[in-house]
Amino acid sequence: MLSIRNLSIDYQLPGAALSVLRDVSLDFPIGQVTAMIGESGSGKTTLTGAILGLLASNARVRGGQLLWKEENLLGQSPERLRKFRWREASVVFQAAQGAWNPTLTIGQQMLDTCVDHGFPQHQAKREELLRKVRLSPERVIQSYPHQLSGGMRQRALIALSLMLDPELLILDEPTTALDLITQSYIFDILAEIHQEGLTMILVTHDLAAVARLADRVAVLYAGTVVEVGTAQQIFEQPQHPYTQVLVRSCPDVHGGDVVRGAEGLPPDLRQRPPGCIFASRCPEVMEKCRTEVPALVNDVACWRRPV
Amino acid sequence: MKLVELRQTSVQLGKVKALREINLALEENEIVTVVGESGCGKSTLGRAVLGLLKPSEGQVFYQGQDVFAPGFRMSDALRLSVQVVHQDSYASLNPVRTVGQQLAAPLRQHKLPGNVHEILTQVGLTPAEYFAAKLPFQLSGGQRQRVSLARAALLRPRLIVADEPVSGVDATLRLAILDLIRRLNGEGIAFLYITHDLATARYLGRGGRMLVMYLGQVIETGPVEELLDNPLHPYLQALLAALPPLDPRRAREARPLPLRSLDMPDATNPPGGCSFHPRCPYAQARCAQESPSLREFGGQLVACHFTGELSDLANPPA
Amino acid sequence: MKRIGWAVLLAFILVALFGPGLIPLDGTPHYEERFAPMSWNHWLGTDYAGRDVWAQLVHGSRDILLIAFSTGAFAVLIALLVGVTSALAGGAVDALLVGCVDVFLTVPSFPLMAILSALFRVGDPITFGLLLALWSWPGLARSLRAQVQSMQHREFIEVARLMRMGNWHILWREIFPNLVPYLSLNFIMIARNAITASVGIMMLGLVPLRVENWGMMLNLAAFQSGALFLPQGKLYLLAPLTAIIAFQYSLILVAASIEEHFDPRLQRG
Repeated sequence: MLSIRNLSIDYQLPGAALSVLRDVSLDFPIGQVTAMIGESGSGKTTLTGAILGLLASNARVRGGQLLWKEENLLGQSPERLRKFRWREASVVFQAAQGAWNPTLTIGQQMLDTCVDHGFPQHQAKREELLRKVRLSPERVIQSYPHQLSGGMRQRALIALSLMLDPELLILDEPTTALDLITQSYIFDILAEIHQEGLTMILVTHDLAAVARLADRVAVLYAGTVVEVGTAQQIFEQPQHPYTQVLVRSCPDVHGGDVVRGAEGLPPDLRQRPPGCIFASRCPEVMEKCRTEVPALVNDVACWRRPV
Repeated sequence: MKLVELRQTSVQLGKVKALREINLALEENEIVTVVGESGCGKSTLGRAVLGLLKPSEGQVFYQGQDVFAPGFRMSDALRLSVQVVHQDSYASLNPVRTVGQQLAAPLRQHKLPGNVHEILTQVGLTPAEYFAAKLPFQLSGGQRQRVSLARAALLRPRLIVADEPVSGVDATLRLAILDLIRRLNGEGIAFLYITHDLATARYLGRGGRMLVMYLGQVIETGPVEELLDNPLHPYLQALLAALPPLDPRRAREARPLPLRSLDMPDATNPPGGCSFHPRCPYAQARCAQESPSLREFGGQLVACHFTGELSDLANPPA
Repeated sequence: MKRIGWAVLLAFILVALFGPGLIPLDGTPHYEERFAPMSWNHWLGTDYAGRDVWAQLVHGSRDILLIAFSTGAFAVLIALLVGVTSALAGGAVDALLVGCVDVFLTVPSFPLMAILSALFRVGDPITFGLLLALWSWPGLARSLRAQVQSMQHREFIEVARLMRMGNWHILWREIFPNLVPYLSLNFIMIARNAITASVGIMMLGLVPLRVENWGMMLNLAAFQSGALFLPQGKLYLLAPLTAIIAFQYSLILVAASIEEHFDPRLQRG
């Protein structure tokens, strides 16, 4: 349904261009939850922005396509993108990002969404969705955002995102900055929504969220896709050295193997080094890695794979 | 020697009693972890240990001296013995001064021996000359936290309160910073590690004690591994059940949480009796009337009337 | 770019210092020469009374610079003293100082100045600057107080206290560098307003009127002498306007360079 082909995006800074995405190709199959994992600087937020047509003003698309049902969303009119956003695809951002207008009640804002997109106000739907996210409509509809806890606001945001029956739901760090117990039942809510057939893109750095929800996983490092696979594959048999480091640097609450992090830092994206983007930190680096960029072969972008 | 001791300490923050009769003694060289969700009072506990909050009840002792006794003036030596590393690495540093300046200033102020470049090397920021000239905004979150650690440690404190030091740091870099904390601990600095992440609590705090907090009280405490492998308080059991295992197959097995209500009660008006009883799947009549105190059970201290009998009660979660 | 600012400012200062000594100011009217065009005798022509514009500009520069700088300096210094002391001392001292600031904010400024200038003869530009500063310091003091108060709660200040860095260090090394950009911006705005304000004060007769004050020149050119309507008058109109703009702009550039020195984040790269 959604396909990204060879997408490259730069940010124009005074005096330099930051190459934030380079030659990214990904598919997001219908009805599945595809997770994009990466740390800060991986480009996952930019990718979300590109899909929604909400890139920063200094972003420059250097090439590639973003295909939504065969239609290239890049370069579409603002009107077309506006229709796309919220009706065909909607988004749930990180809780801390104040998506709620503090001066209006939750209930009012949910109805406003309908009106803004040319739909009649749908009170019944509003109540149904609030119940689905385990909130009590009687209480929440009349509440202002500041009267609800962070977890409740986030659940209400999920309800808001579903008001217009989108076909695609993008979740950007939906549970970061929330408590463990709150995270747990938001995962449950999202799993239920997924079971009803909604296609979801989960953008996160939290491996627990990925384990709980994702069907497929794409691993992003410094703007390139280094590995793709099912959730099972990524956790049990990570192929790419970066994925291996990522999966193994999560300490286990029940003890277990001593885990190790990765040395060094992500590269300076103002000047992409030639060759593999992970070469400067890779424990298995060889000469070829520093000079030639490995293509994604069998879902892994590494000269040493398959072994 | 007890570096810092809180005795029956309560702290009132506006309408909320953020700490309720806390007893805590921090000894030299140990690492104590404090875990809980937001609103449980763990950050307030950290600030109380730092001596920044005057208790509404109880006392705060620094090496045996009551720091809020009338007329008490804390000596420089006592004050410098307890330092802090904050969660927000950017706000912890002066945005318009270089790393080198910010590390040199305390050395100069207190006439301490020590060399900024050496200190930077010790925390892994090499080449030292390069980092000394940097401003905070030019560094990553992890690098800034190393600078904060360096600054806290250079005054040779006996205790550092670390409040969520790695929450804002990328996953692959967290362990390196936690390892650095363990190294500093090996050199004689005790740590109070405050976090909501049970996994890093185990990683850093292994071999030490852990306190679990809920609505301003400590509800379970004991050796870290014991608590996490054998949780006795229903709240800790729920927390551990809420953590998805890092294995997709197991993570998706439907497991309702052993909790009767999902949301935290209002902190300005905590439930009577045991604060946890409205959400506890095993709650009995006694729980609403009588507040349980910490009692010993198998090497841990647990605040529950029915420790060890929970499986007998076996009420299915609502 | 910043060097241009410093250079232009330096040029103005040099003109103000030495110019009046080198170029005589002839105040006698020569009406037959009114609005004369540029010539070797009159580099920028003449005004409505036949007096040399360039000479007025040069002589006016001294007063303008002194008024602008001294207003800015007095306002900033007083505001800094009051605002910071108030924020750091707290308690009764804070309450007292805030009370003073509020008095100044509510008392109408013109009547206040009228009274003050009747009581104290304002002869020289520096005293004039002090008088004008009375208008500008209270608002700045209030916002400085607010900023310092909010900074007290920032983590890096809390850490400095935990490390017993001492009040002096905290004030000058931690807080002050963070205030400099705000201070330099306000200095510029106050200096600029001083020029316009000085015209108003002179018009009211509270202070001896000087024709060569650029603000006054502009006022006379635009509203008093018909220069606005005569093509020949454009030099008289444009000369003081350009001088004021150039001076302002150089102040802006200089302020930017001072900001960069104290807040290296603003430097490129």
